[in-house]
Amino acid sequence: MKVDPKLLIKYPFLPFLGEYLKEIYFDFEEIFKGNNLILSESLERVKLIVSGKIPKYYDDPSIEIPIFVTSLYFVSQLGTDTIYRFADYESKRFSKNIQEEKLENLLILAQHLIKSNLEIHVIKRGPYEIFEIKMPLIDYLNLAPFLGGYNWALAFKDIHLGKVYLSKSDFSRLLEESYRQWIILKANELKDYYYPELEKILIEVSKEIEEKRKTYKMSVRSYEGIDPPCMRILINDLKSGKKLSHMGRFALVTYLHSINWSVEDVINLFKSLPDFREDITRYQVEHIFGLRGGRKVYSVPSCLTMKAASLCFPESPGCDNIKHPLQYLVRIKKLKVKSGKENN
Amino acid sequence: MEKKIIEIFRDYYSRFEFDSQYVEDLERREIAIWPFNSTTLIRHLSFSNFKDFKQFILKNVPMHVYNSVAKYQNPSIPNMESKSLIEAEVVFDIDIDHVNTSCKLEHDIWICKSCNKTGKGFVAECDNCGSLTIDKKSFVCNNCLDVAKDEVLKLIEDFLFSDFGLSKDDIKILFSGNRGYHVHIINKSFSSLDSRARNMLVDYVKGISARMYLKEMLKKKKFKFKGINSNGFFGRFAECIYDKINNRTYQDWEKFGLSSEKIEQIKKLKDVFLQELKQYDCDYSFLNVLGNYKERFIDECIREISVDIDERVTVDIHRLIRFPNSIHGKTGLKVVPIKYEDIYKFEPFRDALIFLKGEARISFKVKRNFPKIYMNDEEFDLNSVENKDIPLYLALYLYLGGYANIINFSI
Ligand code: SF4
Ligand SMILES: [Zn+2]
Ligand SMILES: [Zn+2]
Repeated sequence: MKVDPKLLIKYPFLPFLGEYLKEIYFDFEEIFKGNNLILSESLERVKLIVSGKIPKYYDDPSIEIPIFVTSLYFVSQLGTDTIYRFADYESKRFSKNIQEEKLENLLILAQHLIKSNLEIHVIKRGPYEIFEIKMPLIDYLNLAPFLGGYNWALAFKDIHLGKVYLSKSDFSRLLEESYRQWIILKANELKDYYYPELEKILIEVSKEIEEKRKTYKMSVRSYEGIDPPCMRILINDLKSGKKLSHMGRFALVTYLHSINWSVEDVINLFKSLPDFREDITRYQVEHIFGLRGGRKVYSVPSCLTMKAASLCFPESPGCDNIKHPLQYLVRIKKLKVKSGKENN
Repeated sequence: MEKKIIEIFRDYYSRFEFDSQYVEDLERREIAIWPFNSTTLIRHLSFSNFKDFKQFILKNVPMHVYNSVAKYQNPSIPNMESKSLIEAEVVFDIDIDHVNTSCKLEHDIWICKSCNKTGKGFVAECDNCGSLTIDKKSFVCNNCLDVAKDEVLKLIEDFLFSDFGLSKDDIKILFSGNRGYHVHIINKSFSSLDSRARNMLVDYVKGISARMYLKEMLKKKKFKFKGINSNGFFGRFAECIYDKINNRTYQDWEKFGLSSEKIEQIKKLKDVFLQELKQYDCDYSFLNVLGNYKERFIDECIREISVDIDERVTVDIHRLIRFPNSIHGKTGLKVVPIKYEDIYKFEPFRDALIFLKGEARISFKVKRNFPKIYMNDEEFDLNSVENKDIPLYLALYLYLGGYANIINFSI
């Protein structure tokens, strides 16, 4: 079977990537010897993506595919943040590409990304036929938690006998996420390959990236680690209309502030309380955010303080040996990258 | 007294054959025990076979025994990362402590730590000063345990079977030995889910997002969502509303708090509402007819169709959970594995009793009102059992729970 290698430009996860690389005699060592288009363009691509700019993609697969693979290698050497940033960018590109695809093609792509059986389900409603995709619950659970917004909660999906029924647009969004995870996985696989001749280049690039990062602050909220258990429980309590203790309220607001929530978002979260009063809540939130009164920004209480207030519900390993709830995020992120590696 | 109790615990364990039917891959599990007379848990134990495990238990006779829901490459290394997780069962914990059962008015008391007010029943906060720091003196009666069982059935039948597509061979049910049940999912793909995915399950089973966003949505003029013919949560939500609107009498609505004017309105529009619920896309804004009672009505429905599990147990992949067939050291009851077919007829206060032989005498530590309880199909009025010979299991239940002292016992 001869497949058009141009497809790989759009969808590098297709199984004939390996074959194609062999065909064009792709070799990292050759490229890393220096002074070639692939090397310079890959470096350029990584730098541009990290600084939030748009890189150039080539139409010729014999150039584009090696650049893609080489940039992925560079990214793998430059730390978790870079990997995530690159994966985010790539998944946006992917999402543009799949917009024009027909449902059948999406299903084929999905088989390579998600690797389980998807079925199309047709619902008749009057004169209309509506197509829904049945996705195994387990796959859904591995993808959906990374997407923001309540409409991904299981309650809002039709779910029956282990299958989640999805619209085409929901399905596309989940595919995008699985492509993002594919990039992260592959980057982690490449992590342990070491090429001594690259050391100098890598040190230079990481310095450059470090500087760019400062001017382009990442929002911690998207795709980052799960909330520490103490905060998650407070959030869930709040959402289910349970009143929080004074300390619980305070701790949660400081936490949400530290992960860059806006005042409005925080107030919205508190809306589910039975005795919600917008004016009072706003006053308190703005106070804790340092927007009122003494302009003091309150910081998140330590684990010790949380414990003393009976608000600490530690979970291993994220909470092992930490002193501060914000350390939890850092630890979980590290562990995630690690376990991604172990799974292979 | 403690020595004597350790002896009867040991006697139980010496006669019990532990095997892999209840805990598979014992050698991959972290085991933990809570010894008598101790304030800490001894963790990170591991055993390569049930024989060694039993020997250890007989030597140390613990008050509580736990195993990890997870399997590890190296279960005995204290550092969680070096333990190297292989997989972890998804577990749901249903504990009646969190649920407001009607009988709690009879047997539970609370004391506010801030203002010292005391009251009866179940409260989440002090009704005098609003403080959340409350001391509870609770008791578990037969009714409490029945309610817990209903919740288990709802979890299994609606969520695990119908929504998740699991079968009875994919689940393991255990009576926790005290106030509830544990339901384990024994299924490879579930066992590999991370905490994030588990959190999503918790959100679903508890109805957290559903409740929050329904309320938001209903503020809008029109809110279309799936009706009775859809699957999953909203199908059941619509069904619950349907039943209430269809079956509630005038008196029911009155008791709920509605004015006669509103009740008349519901009666008049009943058929329209019921018809609406049968649509695929149902416009729920008809609930606005309930006015200020709308929120309470939705709350009621969501509570009825969701299950109040302890989310920490489900989300924590390194959780320790009670070892099947071990003794719960605060009740003297057995942590009983139950087949799905048998759950209907399972009676904790009969089928989880261990110490059927022997009698004892007790005196209560503090006087309070106890409900009647039925143990081993016999009724006991706890308010008149002091200084009388009562069955050992009942005496132990009251002693280990901290309600009474045992004066003497004989086997
Ligand atoms: S250990 Fe710290 S982060 Fe973990 S639950 Fe307790 S307070 Fe929160
Ligand atoms: Zn009080
Ligand atoms: Zn009760």
